[in-house]
Amino acid sequence: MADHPRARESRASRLERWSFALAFGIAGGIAIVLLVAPTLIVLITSFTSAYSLKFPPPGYSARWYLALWTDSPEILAAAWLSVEVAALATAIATVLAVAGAVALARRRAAWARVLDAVFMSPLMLPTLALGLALLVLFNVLGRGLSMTTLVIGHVAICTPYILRTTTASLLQLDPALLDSARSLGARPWFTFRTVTLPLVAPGVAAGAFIAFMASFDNVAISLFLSDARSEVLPIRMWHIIEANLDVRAAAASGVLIGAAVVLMLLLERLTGVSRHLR
Amino acid sequence: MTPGAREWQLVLPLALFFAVFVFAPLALLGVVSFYDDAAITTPGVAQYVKFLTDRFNMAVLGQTLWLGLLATAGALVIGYPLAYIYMVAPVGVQRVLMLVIVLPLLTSAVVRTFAWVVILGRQGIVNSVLAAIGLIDAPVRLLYTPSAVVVALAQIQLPLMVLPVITALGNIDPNLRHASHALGAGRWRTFIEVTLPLSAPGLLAGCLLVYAGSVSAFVTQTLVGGGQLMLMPQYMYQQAIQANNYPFAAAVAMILLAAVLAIVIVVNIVSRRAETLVHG
Amino acid sequence: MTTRGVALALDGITHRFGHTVAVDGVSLRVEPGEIVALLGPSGCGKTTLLRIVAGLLRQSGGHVAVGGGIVDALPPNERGAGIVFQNYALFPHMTVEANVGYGLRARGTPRKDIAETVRRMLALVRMDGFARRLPRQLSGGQQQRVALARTLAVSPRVLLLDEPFGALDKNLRLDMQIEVKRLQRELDITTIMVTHDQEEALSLADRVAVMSHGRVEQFARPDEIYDRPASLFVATFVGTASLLRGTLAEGVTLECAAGRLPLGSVGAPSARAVVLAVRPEHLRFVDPASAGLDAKIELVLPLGPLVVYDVVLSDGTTLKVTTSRGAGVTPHAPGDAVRVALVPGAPASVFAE
Repeated sequence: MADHPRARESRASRLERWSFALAFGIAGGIAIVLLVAPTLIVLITSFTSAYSLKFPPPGYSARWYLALWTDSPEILAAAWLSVEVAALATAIATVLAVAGAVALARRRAAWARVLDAVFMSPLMLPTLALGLALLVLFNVLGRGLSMTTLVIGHVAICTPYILRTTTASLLQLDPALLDSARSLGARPWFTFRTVTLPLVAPGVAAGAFIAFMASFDNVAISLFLSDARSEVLPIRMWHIIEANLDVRAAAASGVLIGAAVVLMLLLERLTGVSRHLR
Repeated sequence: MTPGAREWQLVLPLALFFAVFVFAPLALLGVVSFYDDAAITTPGVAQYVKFLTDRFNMAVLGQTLWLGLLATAGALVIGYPLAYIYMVAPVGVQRVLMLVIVLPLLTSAVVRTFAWVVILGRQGIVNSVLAAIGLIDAPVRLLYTPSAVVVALAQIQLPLMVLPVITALGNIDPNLRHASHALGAGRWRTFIEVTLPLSAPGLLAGCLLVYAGSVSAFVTQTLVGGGQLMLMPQYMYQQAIQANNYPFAAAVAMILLAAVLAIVIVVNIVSRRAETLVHG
Repeated sequence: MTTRGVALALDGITHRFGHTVAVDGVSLRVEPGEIVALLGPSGCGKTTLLRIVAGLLRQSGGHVAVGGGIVDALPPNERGAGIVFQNYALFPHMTVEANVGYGLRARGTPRKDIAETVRRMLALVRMDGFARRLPRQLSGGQQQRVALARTLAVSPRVLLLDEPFGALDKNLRLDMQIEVKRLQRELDITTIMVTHDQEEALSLADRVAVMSHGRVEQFARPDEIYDRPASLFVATFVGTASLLRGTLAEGVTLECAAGRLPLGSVGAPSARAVVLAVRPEHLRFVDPASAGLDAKIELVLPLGPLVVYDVVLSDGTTLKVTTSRGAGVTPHAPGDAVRVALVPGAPASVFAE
């Protein structure tokens, strides 16, 4: 066949192909840089030896991480409070959301769809308004702000994440498994405990992880429901940044970024979290 | 199908919780907004009248929605190509890309906004680079401008645009692209006539999430926008906590909610029609 | 219609996915206007080969030539190879007429001409009147016809069909097969069809390429494939064949554990250890005096005008024997002892072990 003439791609076609690849490549490249660069810059800045956020840093040192650890009791207290609130809120939200998901998954009835939309609404609507609304509610009820009121607000924003991932997991569950269990004589709670729960556990765990991080990072609700004495970490950091651009904020950010990376890699390995964030 | 007793039992706790701690407070907030005075004694629509007739107030609302729109457009223009690249990348690259896209979602808005404070600050990287190449003599004020807010918002909300688009692109039958090529269409035509319309549901979802997130992004708006730039979230906070004018703050909150809800409904309707066309 | 048959040639096509070899040195020449079936089990490389011809995949080695010119460097949108996918791949968000006119629009054909061609194409596949429908409103058979119309509208030089009838109901399948064959003949368009259904391949194609593990085992007319399989794989994949292992004596007799079986003349393979592949209809029962193999009847399956017998030889080998159910013939019963021999003049395929 070596003597057959070789047809060549037309110039128009080649140009067309390359222009497409170029346009998307550049735009996508910009997106990737924009996604990664700010995080990297914060990390690099956190290791500055100077007192300001000058970039590039004049010198490098871990002093600010040290200062965070030894010299910032209010930041550490805020961090601990955030962990407590997030843990409590996630725990409560998990129970509520898993029960709700089991009730609502696979149901096409109108009431189920309405309830589902209602339960997912905190993801879409400004939670700032919800924070203010809860503040008003607690004022009217005569209850002062406390850990309890804060946790209540956080439960509201945690449940949608867990509901979403648990529902997704339940939808992937083969109904034939539950039918088999039933025909073998298993009662509903037994089936749930031994068949359903183990199979949706990864989905629930992924949802709980996302919910925990959402609660930990939340500002909107905490803004209205924290009392003056105890602030959660994001609010504390916001005050620091707003007030005097303390470099410790960079170190705190570095720690948070590091923790998020580690946790995410760990959970990705264990449960494939990233699938559930879509 | 009527719900059985078990379904009621299971969903009741969650439903009760939402009724008491989501629905009731919002309803209460609505009620509070219908009082004429800060002491909450006389009911009326004065707050809304005050908001809708005052130029400053309307400018606050207008600017909030406008910046939200710009941020959404920005996120779309760079986010869609990124999602596309993800789809055509080899599996190893996809895994790394996904972690890069998802990680910001797990870090606080404060941290992500702080990065922009560092970048756009007087001693930040942009000013340093501009000075190094001799374009400027003194640091330019980049922070505390509406443009800075738009750029920061677009970047911070970017993952919320990329993820739904990735899902939508993944749902498109790859043979459709092959068929288009085999029929003689080039890359651009295939993209515009086939891929883009079929990815509409995800695209709309992404735009909605970015828009809703951008207009309520308190932290970014205040840290990057500064005290001079007043937008709805900060207005709400200020009126409630600092001025103690709860009815007005409630009215601001209600208007913000309405602005977001209106877009949600519109997008849902459009998206539903797009879905039936795409999936059938 | 400006379609006139062109020749298609594949020269040493090889393709690797990572370490796996999907297509291993395939060379074929398809004559103008011919319809060739690529037949084989899943994983044999037939779909990969089809995609290579379409230009959707760039082969690791070898050349594809359409109408005498090597097209390796051409992207799919310039190759002139129309492909119809197994799931039809109709654009779900476009009407039938928008679908059919898509390729013409892509080429910049004037709108009036597009409308004219679309109308003609829909009439050709008997789907006129469906122009404004959406794909989801059509049945499987209708979708396939629209997919065909869409591909033919751009006058491809070669038509490629990927398991075209796999998704159709059995009843519809025959109708669509006739329809496609009719169109192909009418347009005289060179066609390659991928299928795993041997009945389909043998009935529709002018020539069949039987593939296994990326290689073409035999490329011949259907009757040759059936009567004179070139390899053991072809003999067992196409149609039913019983296998007998033994040694060849004097080139005319098979000596195996169960006895001696006269073969008639056979192209003697070089090895002595051989496998005989024989079709059920080429075996018959003979009286105990004639030469043959002793066997016992295990199962009797009446199948319309035929009776299929499952028989067991003395060494445990099973054979299938098919006889016609004539008026004067009494069928055997399970448990009967019989003697089996080849029908005189029947082709016997003997392969080296």
